[in-house]
Amino acid sequence: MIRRFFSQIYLYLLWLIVAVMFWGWIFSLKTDTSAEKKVMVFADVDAMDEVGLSAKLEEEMPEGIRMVQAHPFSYVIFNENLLVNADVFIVPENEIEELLDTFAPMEREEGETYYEVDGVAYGKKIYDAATKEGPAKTFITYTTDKDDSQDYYLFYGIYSLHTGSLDEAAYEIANHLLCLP
Amino acid sequence: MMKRTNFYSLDGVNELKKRNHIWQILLGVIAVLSLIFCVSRVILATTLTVGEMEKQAIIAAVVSGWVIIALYINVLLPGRREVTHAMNMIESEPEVRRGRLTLTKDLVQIRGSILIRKVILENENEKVRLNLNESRKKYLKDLTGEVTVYTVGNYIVGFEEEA
Repeated sequence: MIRRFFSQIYLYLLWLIVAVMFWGWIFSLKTDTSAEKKVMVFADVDAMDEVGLSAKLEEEMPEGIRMVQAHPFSYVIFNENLLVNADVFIVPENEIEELLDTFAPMEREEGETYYEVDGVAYGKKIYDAATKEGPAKTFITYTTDKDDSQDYYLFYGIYSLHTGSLDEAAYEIANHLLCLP
Repeated sequence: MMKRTNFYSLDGVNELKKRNHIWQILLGVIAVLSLIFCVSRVILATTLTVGEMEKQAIIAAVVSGWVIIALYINVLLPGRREVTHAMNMIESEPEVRRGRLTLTKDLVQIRGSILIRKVILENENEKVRLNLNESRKKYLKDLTGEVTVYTVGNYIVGFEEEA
């Protein structure tokens, strides 16, 4: 009986691979959609409850948007294109320069602090290193390093479809995120 | 008084067919239930639960698939082959031989057919190797002395012994 099992084991292994790949693909269809119908938020932070934050932001989805995906930067380790095409970024001050080409200029609002380059505002300060105050701390751990604490800024992607070209869903999602405790 | 034992009969074949049909239905039910469960995981998944739902769907698919594969290869397929073999034996006129039967240790899986055990039939004139359906081995285990053997081709389909 054991010998019979080992002679058939390749069938069981083959089924394992087929079943995992097939249902993994099916669920990927459920958990992803085209860029036109989703808003992607990427945060270069120490820790993040991606699932919780995505679910929270989906509670108030703008019209035409099917899903909100929130990910840490480590999510794009094998596919940097995802990062380039993201809609909303949360980035520490010491990493901004590296990614500046990815960010779109933003309109200023009174009372806010901005990251500026040549007088143009690109990002809005949302987390203050000194006071440790910032939005969505239930879902985002901005930094765990007491000695190297950075301010964090929110940016909009220059290639985003949701900052005016298709709709303004990125602004709505960002505003929702900024209101989270 | 002679006692005859036939290995194959129409009643036996019909019984086998019925059993195979039940196994077929059972495998179908397992497949359908598993599919319904997996599809329900996809439909019910939300952003918060999708990871857990995916895990449940994959586990259900893998386990049910393994059960179906195991039952199909080890129960249903041999059952179907047994029916085909039995029908071939029933439809042919058997030869009659006489001699002493000895079971050997040689087991052979006939490709696309049943598992057989080689049996030696010995009498004054000849010593031949015949094929015995392994599932019928129990009938010949305790045989001693000369018996009348019925064969189709080299397959033993029955025997007759002193009661």
